[in-house]
Amino acid sequence: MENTSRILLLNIWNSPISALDLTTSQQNILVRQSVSASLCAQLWKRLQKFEAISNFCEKAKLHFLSAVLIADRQVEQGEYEISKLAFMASAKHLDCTLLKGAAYIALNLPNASGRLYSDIDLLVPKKALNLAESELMLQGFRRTEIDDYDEQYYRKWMHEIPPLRHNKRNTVLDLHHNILPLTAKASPNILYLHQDAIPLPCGLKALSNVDILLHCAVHLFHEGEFEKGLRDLIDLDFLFRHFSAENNEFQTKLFDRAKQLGLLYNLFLASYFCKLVLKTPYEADYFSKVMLYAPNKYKLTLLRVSFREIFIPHHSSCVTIKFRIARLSLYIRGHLIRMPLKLLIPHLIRKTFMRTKDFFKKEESDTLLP
Amino acid sequence: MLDIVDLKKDKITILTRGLNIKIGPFTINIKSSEAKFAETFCLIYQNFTVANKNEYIDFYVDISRPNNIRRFIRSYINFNNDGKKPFKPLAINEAFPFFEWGLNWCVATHAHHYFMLHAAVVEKNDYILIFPAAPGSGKSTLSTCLMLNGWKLLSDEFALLSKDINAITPFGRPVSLKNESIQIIERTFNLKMNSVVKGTSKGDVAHLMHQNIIKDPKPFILKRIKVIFPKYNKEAKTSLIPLSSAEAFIPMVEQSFNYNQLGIEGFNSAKTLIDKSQQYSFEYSNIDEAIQLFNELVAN
Repeated sequence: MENTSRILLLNIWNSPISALDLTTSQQNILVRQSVSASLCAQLWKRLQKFEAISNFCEKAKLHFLSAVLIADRQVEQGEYEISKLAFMASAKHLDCTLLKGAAYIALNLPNASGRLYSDIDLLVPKKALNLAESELMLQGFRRTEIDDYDEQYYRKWMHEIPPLRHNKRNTVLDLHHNILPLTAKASPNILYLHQDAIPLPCGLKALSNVDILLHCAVHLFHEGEFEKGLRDLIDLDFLFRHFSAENNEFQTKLFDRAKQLGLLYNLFLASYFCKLVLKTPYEADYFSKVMLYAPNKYKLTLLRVSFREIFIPHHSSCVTIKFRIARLSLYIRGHLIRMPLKLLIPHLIRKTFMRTKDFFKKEESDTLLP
Repeated sequence: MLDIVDLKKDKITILTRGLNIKIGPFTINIKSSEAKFAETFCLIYQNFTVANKNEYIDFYVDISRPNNIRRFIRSYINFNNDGKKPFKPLAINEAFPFFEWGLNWCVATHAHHYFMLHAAVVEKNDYILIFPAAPGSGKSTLSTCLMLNGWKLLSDEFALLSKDINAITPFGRPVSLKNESIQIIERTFNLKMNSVVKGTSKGDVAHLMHQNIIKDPKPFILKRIKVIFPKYNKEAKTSLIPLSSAEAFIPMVEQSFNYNQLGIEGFNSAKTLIDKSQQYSFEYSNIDEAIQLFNELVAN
């Protein structure tokens, strides 16, 4: 049982109907894995869709339904924040594009329902950054506490400014001027993305369908930490399937766009791992074109072994030595692709020093319940 | 059905492996390799039932030292909920209160099938009294006094109400007393509390277990409900003042853990509770007068 439980969530995700055969203790593990992978509410909605919930015990249902409640509330809050942002943007003639979770909600994409999100991501042209920031501050968004070094680092090298937090609603907002750090090799020319952004009924914009998917891919494969990796891969799978069903030229357009933006390698990674882990169906022609951008077979094997390990719930029932090695190597990979060594090394030395200092400080406890 | 006290094996070994225990309507897997914690836990929770092997586990809780070099520098303890650490570590001697606070967090953030209030709940003569209150207002002191005078204590921290406000589920756990209330209870009832932890982030904390704390999670049907906002104040004369529905609504939902999360359902539950109950504000300093007043309030 220990052996199969490791891939329990993945198995059930790929074949929801088999949830009808789970024992109570397997249901227990399924809930824990899905909570740990931030997929609890999404999984329950999927099981409902496939009519695979009748066998679940009362307790498992209660845990799923609590997660659904929280996720639905987040979508509602997200819609509210979007309407506020739309009002601000139109009053100040700001060119604001929603990214990631907020865009999925605004476009009502199939992965929005049940998805948890921790912040709202907003893209503005770099020249409008200061105006957007000060307007957001007038709306109640405040800078979060951050030390001078981090502040500097964000402003100089990152594709976003330090996170802003609303003083009443506590919503966290990330204000972007690009989709990747300026230090990353794959950082695309953002003007192309602005050009093709589509206006939403609310007055804000979203990226075009192909760009939404490419952004999702670039984002996932530039991460160094993959606690939500499986969730993000599932986003990609949803987007592939949904956009391809909507438009039968989608995959051709996607390929061409990735070529134009210099993101073919990222598109390869996204397509390859979606197919491997989630059995995403592609047109044969598309997949063979994308496979041309695969790295040599040694590097591919290395990537496959590492990413296969990492796209599982990061839960005690799944963790093995192999997983730990994969996690560490992908962590290092994440840093290396985001900035060149001559920046990375001083940055890491500085971070290590600050952390060592913190070791000796007495920790202040977080707010606790009574 | 075994209770913790009936277990044959050494308590420390048991907790190192993980123990499934029923606390109110929840089943918790509790794990710790801290000998001192295991001892305190097994003593205070000695009469709680050990769950069957195949029972569904609601929360996995692990109380242990961080797994890094910090453990050699200064002793800290982590609260780990199935791999997630929602809090920063605390000093080793705070392990038991940390468990209690952490379990509160687990319930408050997951049990959304209830309408949850941060409140003490007591019962006598089919009357359910709910004391919603902010920390430091003296709700635990009041409910402990009533408990030690023959009232049933359903919970010291949580009113777990069904959303239709027809029933309330007991969630009996050791009462948590803080700072002056420890001495007040010791003095008034001439007892000695032996689990006092000094100098926590909330001051001195003691936990008290008692036979009148309801461990059986069978819900009580709500017939006669009073919602009372207690305030302990050194100079206060004992006074119980009826509140209007409008006066009681906001202070009550301010003490709800999930009013916002439940959305319209939360509003309806709160409204039903207000409609079905009488509400009062209560000030006190004299324990005997308080007990007498509440006994008269529920006299048939």
